[in-house]
Amino acid sequence: MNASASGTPIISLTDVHKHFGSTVHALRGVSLDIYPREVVVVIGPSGSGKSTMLRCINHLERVDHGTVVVNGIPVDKAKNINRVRAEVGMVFQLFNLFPHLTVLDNLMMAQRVVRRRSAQEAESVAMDLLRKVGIPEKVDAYPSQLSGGQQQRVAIARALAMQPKIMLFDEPTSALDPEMIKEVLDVMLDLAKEGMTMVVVSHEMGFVRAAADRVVFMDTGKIIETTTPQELFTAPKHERTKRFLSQILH
Amino acid sequence: MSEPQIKSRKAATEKVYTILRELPWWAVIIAIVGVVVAFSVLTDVRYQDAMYFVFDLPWDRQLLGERPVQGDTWTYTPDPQVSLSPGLYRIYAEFNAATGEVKDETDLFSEPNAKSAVLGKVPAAERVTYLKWHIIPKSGMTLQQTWVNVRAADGREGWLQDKSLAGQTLEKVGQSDFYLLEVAEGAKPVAAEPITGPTTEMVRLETTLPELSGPVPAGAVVRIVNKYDLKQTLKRAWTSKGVMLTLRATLMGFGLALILGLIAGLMLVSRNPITLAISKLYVEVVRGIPLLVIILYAGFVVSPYLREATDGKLDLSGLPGAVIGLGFGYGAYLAEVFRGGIQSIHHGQMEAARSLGMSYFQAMRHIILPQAFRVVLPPLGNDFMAMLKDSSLISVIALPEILQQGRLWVSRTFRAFEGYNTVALFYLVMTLLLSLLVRYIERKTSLPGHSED
Ligand SMILES: Nc1ncnc2c1ncn2[C@@H]1O[C@H](COP(=O)(O)OP(=O)(O)O)[C@@H](O)[C@H]1O
Ligand SMILES: [Mg+2]
Repeated sequence: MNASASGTPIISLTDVHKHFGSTVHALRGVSLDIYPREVVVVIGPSGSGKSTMLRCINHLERVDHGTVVVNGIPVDKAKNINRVRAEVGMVFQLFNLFPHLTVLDNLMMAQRVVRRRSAQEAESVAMDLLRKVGIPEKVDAYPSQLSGGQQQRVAIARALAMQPKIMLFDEPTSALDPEMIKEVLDVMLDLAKEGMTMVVVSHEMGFVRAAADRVVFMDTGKIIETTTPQELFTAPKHERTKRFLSQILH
Repeated sequence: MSEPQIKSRKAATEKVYTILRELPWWAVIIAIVGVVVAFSVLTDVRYQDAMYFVFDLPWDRQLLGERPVQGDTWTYTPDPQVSLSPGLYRIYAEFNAATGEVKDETDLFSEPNAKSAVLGKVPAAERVTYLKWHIIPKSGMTLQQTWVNVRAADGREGWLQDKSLAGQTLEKVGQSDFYLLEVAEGAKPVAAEPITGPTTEMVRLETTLPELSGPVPAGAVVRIVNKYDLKQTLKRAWTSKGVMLTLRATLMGFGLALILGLIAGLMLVSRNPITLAISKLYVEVVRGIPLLVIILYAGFVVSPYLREATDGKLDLSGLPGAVIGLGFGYGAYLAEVFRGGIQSIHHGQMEAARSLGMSYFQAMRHIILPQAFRVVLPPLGNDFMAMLKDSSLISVIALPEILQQGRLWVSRTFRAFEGYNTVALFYLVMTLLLSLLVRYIERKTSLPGHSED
């Protein structure tokens, strides 16, 4: 979309390692720079460390080795973590909406508690975003009363309500029924058009084609290759990438 | 041949079973309890006595008079020697309708004296035959108000407020609120003031029982007794010493247990090894000791120690010690309940909250605990009921709660069956009410799309 890989990176991972216990080595030296307004799609087989990498960016996982710098802030100390999280919105595979709160309260809670906005301001931000994701009429519904696609759109709106500079998506459509995938992808495409910096773990090739500036292929905790969408579909460099693509494209 | 008959009988039993199946369980229990209560309380004077004692009811049922009827009308003239307690009276005839075998009862007047009573009038007390003090103990054993029941020689009687005893401390109030004092003829109450209006329920006492008469079948016996006033009685029972003490110990103890349990439960899910160790130690140690022993510690070790250490400034003997024992003991169980509730919430909730920039405690307070609350509500309700029952353990540190009162009554009357039935009934009724309350709260807090059962 905006393939201007210039200036200073807004996210910078350098030689990141992550272990789970003594046996699982989930990330083995991942280095990746992401630039403002860039849309990066991460693909790779299950268990390759895509989610772990994403979660290291906003410190839901602590890195064992290497550095993560977001918006010029090193992600290590507790104080920085909350500053980083304020800049980074995250959307989860299973939506993770707060089931005990209405849609409006889902969108208002963090604004009130973290940003300390007035109820009035938080509500007007929330309503704007609900209109943007196309479900203002669900403002008083509870998450359990929404379809999967609607829930995921609310989850995107909830993250946007904090006005983040970066959005992370971890397989946002893989828990959805096929007919609901498009409504979520459309919201994400709009975001990409507006110039949001996005890191998206997804195997929706339509989205890759339409929005991705770069595609990162991961396997066994490493970045195997980084390409453009055109290159990915026409001439993937790596054998493992080819094999993986043939599997998911049938 | 009789197949249709069998079928219809089958259908009938089927119907009964369906009705029984569809009845909520608590309706069945309430019905059973209701029958037992109605039967025992309303018919058996021993249960009445036990209840009057255990629930600390201030008046007894009195038989005021008994008159065999010769003709077909009766007349009752109050007996000047019988003293009246405050309350309403029931006059009924007990008669043998035809054969003399079956006894029946008929109310002759529902509230015969309510209208004819002269409220607040005090007889001239020149010739008082005796005085009866009604003592209302409040805030411990210090008298706030005393009332004097005055009976004149002509049979009229009434109440006087006696200020001479106010402010005095009684050594021992005992179980009854009534004190009979023999006073020489002609004595006058000291510094007494006539009652001028119906200011307290005490004033509802009739000054005189009017002469009554009415038609009645021959062979009947007319009896006059206190009217059984259910509302009054329940009100008295509710505010009686034993009930209040049981409820207070339970509510305060559970409040303390909730606080301790929530803190320890949060510590149990923390990753900090020190807080984890402290909370684990608390839970494991307290759960390993019988609650009775913990209450004995609180009553006979901790509170005397604190009293001595602070020169009597911090005195936890009595109710505070009992509350601490109950709360400390139950806190350990509630900690496990809260831990389970918090851990039952999907970890994605915490991650979503943290990814929005909330701190750990903000996420706990706004996201995790409100959801965990709905999960722990049924087990919390269970523990609340269990604590209500376990509050009977505080009788070991000599607190006059319900069980203690029941045991006292049994030791006086040697009627263990009726005494402990009365105690058991109280706990049964209370726990039933509580479980209804818990269900109500569950329904109120359940989220749409989540079924209630
Ligand atoms: N919390 C965890 N505890 C233990 N192992 C984990 C945890 N999270 C991920 N892993 C492991 O780390 C590896 C990478 O996982 P993940 O990043 O979720 O892969 P992906 O998202 O690419 O499917 C997998 O082998 C997974 O089993
Ligand atoms: Mg994943």
